[in-house]
Amino acid sequence: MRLFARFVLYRLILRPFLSIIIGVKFPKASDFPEGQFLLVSNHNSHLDTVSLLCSLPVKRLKDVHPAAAADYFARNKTMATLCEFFLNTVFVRRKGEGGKPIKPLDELDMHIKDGKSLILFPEGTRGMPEEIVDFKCGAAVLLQRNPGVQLVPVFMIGMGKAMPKGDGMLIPTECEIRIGKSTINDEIRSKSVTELTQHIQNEVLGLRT
Amino acid sequence: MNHILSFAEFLTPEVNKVLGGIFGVLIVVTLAFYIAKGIKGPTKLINELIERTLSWWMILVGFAVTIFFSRFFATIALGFVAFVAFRELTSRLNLRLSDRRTLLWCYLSIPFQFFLAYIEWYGMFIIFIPVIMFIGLNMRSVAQGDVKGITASLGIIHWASMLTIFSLSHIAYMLSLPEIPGFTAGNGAMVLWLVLITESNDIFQFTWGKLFGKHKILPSVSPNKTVEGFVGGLISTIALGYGLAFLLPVGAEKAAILAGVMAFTGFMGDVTVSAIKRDLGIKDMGSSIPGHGGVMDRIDSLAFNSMVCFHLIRYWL
Repeated sequence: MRLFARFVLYRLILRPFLSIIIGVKFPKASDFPEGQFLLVSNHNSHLDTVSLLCSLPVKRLKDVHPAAAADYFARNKTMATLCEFFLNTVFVRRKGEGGKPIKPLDELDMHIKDGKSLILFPEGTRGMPEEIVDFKCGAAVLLQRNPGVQLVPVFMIGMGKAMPKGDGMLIPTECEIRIGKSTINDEIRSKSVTELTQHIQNEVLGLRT
Repeated sequence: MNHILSFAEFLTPEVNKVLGGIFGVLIVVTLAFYIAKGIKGPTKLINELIERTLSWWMILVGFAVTIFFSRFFATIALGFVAFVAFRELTSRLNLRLSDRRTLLWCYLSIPFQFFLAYIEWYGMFIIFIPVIMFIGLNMRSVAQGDVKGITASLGIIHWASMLTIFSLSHIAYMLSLPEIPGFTAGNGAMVLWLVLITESNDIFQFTWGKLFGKHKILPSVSPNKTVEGFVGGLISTIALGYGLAFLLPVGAEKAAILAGVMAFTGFMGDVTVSAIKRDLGIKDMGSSIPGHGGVMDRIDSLAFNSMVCFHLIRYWL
């Protein structure tokens, strides 16, 4: 039921709309690797998550989950249910309740151990279009803890101009989703978290040109 | 309602003859390339030529199906082409985030401009973009209140509207012109002549330039354009325009003059877009047509010629 609703929404409604009217250039389905992955991308717009879900191979709509901040996307129950139903999100709590400290990475780690593939935006927030802030180290930690999970570096161009932060109006603007092939191997994986984070950031930024 | 339901509206005997000729040439060229590939094996040049030829098939079939069957759908299709070309331009021309509302006004003006062409309201059609939208765009940009860089944005947005929306709407208006007494080929024939002459001139200039090109005409803008190519193209285009004058309501001499003018203005449109691409440091304006770049790369000369052709014919009638 959920899967069918998502198929109709992404493949039959949103993808044609985004590609014909907005001008999003989608990658080939075969650009995504088989098996469990951790997709890491720059983040400028609410369009980012939707376009990524539109470009996934249909059979992956089930097990790929965007990670979303609980304090923003699950601020009330309706919003949380809608996000879970349509976007397939997993929520990450950034702030503890009642002063209890929280470990967001442990929660994400748990989801990965469950066999889910995640979409992460390691910049932490949507910035200005085509500007990148330094990646946070979460993706690197998760990759080190789960050696079987592949990295999928993604760079998105133009989304922040089609629908920037703080402005809900969609304006047709040519956008592109570029999917890279990661060069990460066991040697790079075993480096320090800082170095691995830098490596991931370089792979994403390398897709810019 | 009559117009919406009509079928093969512009497929007069004259149009059928010329369209048949074009498809015949394309079939021969396609076969020749595939035979060459069979004999010499798949080289890079042959593969590129085949990719281009297949795109030509796409463009030509799309053109024939959308333009000549129904004026209603032709108008919508032309509006869509203008929309894609405008989107290509404004996506690449370094506009500011504060220009987004002004761009929205431009996008909304597209259906209105093509509607004006469809209902043949000439007085409004001819001033809507150059006068009304010109004032409206300035108004909307200024109301946004962001003055840093506003001069460039105002220039870019209005220029892009004129180059894509205003110019292509002339083709839609050409299809809407009232019936001309004693002219049986129909309005579709005029559009066919316009597009055929414009594209042939590009091909003639390219071919003459490759064969005999020596003196560069605009070395800092487009290193492939030569004086020999331009002159060869001009003469061939005039000859073709004269030969196909039965598609126009103005007579053979005027058709030849018009073809000559269009060889020049088509060249101007081509090098104008080349100059802008060079300024931006990009090779193509888009990537929607394999082997040809974007829509804007394909309609650069047509953008100027559609206005020139429409207004000269209208003046002579």
